[in-house]
Amino acid sequence: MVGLSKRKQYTQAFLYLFPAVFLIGLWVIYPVYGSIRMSFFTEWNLFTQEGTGFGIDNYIKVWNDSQFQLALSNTLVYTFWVVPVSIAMSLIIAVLLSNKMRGMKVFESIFFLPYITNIIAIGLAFRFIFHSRLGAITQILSWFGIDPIGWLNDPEWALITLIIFGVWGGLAFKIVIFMAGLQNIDPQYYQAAKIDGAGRLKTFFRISLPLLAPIVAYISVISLIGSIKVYVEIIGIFGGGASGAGPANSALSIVYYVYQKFYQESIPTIAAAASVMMFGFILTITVLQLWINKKRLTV
Amino acid sequence: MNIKLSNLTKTFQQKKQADVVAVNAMDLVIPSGTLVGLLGPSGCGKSTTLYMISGLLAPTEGSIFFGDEDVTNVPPEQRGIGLVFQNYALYPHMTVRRNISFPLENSKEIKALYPNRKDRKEYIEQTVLETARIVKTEELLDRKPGQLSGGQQQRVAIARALAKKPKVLLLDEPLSNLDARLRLETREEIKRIQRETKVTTIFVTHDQEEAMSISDSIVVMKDGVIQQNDAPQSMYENPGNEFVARFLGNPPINVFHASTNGDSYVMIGDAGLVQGPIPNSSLKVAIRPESFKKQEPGLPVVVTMIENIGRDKLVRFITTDQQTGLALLEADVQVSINETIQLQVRDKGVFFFDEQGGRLQ
Repeated sequence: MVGLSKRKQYTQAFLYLFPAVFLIGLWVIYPVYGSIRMSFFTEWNLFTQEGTGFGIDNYIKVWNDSQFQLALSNTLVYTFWVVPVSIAMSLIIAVLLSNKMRGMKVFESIFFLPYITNIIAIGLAFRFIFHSRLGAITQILSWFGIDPIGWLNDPEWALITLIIFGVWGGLAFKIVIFMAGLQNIDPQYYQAAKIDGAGRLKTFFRISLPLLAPIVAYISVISLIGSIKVYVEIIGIFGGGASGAGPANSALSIVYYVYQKFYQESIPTIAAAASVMMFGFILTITVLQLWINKKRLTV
Repeated sequence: MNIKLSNLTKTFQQKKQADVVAVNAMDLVIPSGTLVGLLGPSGCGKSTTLYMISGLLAPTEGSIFFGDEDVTNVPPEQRGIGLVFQNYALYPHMTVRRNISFPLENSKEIKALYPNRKDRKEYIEQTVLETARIVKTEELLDRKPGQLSGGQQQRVAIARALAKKPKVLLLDEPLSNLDARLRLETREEIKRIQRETKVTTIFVTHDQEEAMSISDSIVVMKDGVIQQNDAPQSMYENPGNEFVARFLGNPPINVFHASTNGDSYVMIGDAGLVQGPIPNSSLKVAIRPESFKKQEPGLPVVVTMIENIGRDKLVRFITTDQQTGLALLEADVQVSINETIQLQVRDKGVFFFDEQGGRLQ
């Protein structure tokens, strides 16, 4: 770039950036703009892209909709459990796997399988395992004298089943990332810790974990956003379509609510308003989390 | 407390390859309170020896004694050692204060000595300050390792190793990550700290100058075997074999192929030089560059290069039988390139070795 005039430099930079900017504009920026615009009209003509009744009525309607409130509370509960539990579990598994023992490669593959398997297929497997009469879980629980639980068809249990599914489905990716992070820690720190007389637990909490902190932060942001967007998991385990999100729509999430409003009830304006609210929600939480991470985790 | 290594051996097993014997049946006694340098080229087993003494590596055979106690099977944290790693391995997320106090917080002895939490905290705080003062890092206590220079990190690493008041301090290539000026400064520091704390100290280095300058004694190793163990100056003046003679000294010693005549007179080419050890044989004669003087009659050589290095003149030459050599002559000696001069040797710094490198007296 040295020797080129300012203008030539800009032209060149623009040409390099153009393909990416164009595609992002077409597939991301324009639809986001469209949704936000749509969310402020009470009536919307999908063909002419024109709306009538501009205002925040949609937002008020969504906020007061008991279904949306259910979706919001389900999503929050789901996130509250799935994020910390799956992070803790995958961290423990990653630490166990990184102990170089015979046969660990096999376990590595087993734990990575869910990541390369379609979540709908895993959902099917879960439906067998969690079947209220024939499932393996019911069998195991019966050995302890616990009565069959309607994991899949009892509205009281549907969210819990979804959470278990969400934790399990999210493990693989996190394990892989944590293992990569653990491998990046200079083994000399462990030798130093040994010389310094730190036991295994202390070494983990005082050395490994703080050194993994940036990765934990990354994983928690990714996992948080993913959890708030929970949707495919619901279809995977309860089946989608007219039956709704789980028994009596009890496992409804925000994205699923948007889906129902848009495709099943054909009220795109409400769907748009709900998506914008979710967008704001994710944005707020993520910014908050990044800010906390930055304050607490700088090495 | 003496350190005694007895028949110490470490063999590394490799897949589909012959085993590597890193340290081979090593016997060594390190007297209490001394500063000892383990010196040798890379791969000679010096670091392996250090890590076996630390307990991080288990020996394949042999034993290690600290005083009368056999510590071969004692885990590192119970051996009473401090170890400074080559790249320091300071915990990057802890402040200097926490780095130094970490071994103290883990210590069971301190816990037994100060069962009360508050007393213990006070003791640790005191010890950290005291140790930081010894290595002159008091003003750095609240910084993190990333905010320190290489030399400061080195000091903190030494402080962390010293905090538990170890019986033995082990340093792995302590100066290799520092720049030239800091290296000179830090090696004096290490010497001072060792004098002040009187802790038995072993350090590993491949730099002969470093070993010569601060050690009370040097152990030269090659291929897992001790070549010589002696005080620096006497090792320089009296090397046990050709390897030691070549390894010590900068500029390096000259080694000429030579032969002796019937009167045991050493001949390089067809020029006689000094009285040798045995008549009628071929041998190697090693001469320190500073042991040459320009004097007739002597060894006729052709000067090929001259470097003026202030106090001295480094003269590269070639003998009549095409062997090259180096002579360190006084600065006021007049020589010029391609000139044939005659060199005579002084009575110090001339050694004879057989073809296998063993010393001939």
